[in-house]
Amino acid sequence: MVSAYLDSVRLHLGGSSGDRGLVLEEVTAHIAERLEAFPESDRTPDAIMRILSDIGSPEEIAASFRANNPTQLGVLERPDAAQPTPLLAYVSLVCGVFAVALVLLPFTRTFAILPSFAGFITGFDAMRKVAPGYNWTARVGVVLSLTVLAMGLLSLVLTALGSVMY
Amino acid sequence: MFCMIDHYELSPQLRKGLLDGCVLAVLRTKGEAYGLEISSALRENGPLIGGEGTLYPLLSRLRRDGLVETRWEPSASGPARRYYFLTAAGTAALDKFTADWAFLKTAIDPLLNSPKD
Repeated sequence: MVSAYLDSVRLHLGGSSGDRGLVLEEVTAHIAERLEAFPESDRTPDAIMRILSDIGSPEEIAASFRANNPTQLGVLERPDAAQPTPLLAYVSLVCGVFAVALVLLPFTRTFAILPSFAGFITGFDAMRKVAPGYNWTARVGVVLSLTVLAMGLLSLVLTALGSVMY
Repeated sequence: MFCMIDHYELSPQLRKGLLDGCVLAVLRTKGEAYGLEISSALRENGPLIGGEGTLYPLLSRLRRDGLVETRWEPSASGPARRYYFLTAAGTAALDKFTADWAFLKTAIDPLLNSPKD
């Protein structure tokens, strides 16, 4: 239970190097110190839970770390999240719309695979990187691109099946 | 009025601003102290900190800012303890905090206690 808690603290802190390591070390020592106050027989899961609850949730400790180290972001607050790259999201959206347009026009369907693939890649990348406000743009781009990709694959499968059957 | 002080929820913004001074004050009173001692002192008169673990990032920052120093000492009853103590800069910061607190009390108390017109 304690090691799962410490793992979670480590995860929320975003590692165990530098100041994060010091915090982790201190929290570990703190838990050990609190446990020492209990005789072995009294170290029930409930007692341990109470100690961990007094120490605070891993999220709470990570929030305190971030508040005290604004320049050292944890893994849950990636540096690239603070630097939105909306261009990727818009590229994905444009590619997705373009792919749909190509699919709808009679003689350009074959070429739709290119923008749909580009839309999917850029949209996927954008969703990993951009600020939440832009995510919907990327999501729409990815959905449109995937739809066209799926249609293309379905068409290929049907054509293949058709050629096998006849 | 303060019978429920164990459960009092201090505004996080206010707590954030005051906690540095409170930790430094604990260290001045005790001379030096390890984490569990500091968190116990901060909870003695009311819950000045949330989770005890939230104290360590703050201590780490105070150390980085040169306001406290640390030393290790083996403990007979458990793991080695990291003792924190004030530096000269920490003492000066605490003096400033003490003066600020006195100023704030003088300025704010009359506002809070003034009768309705």
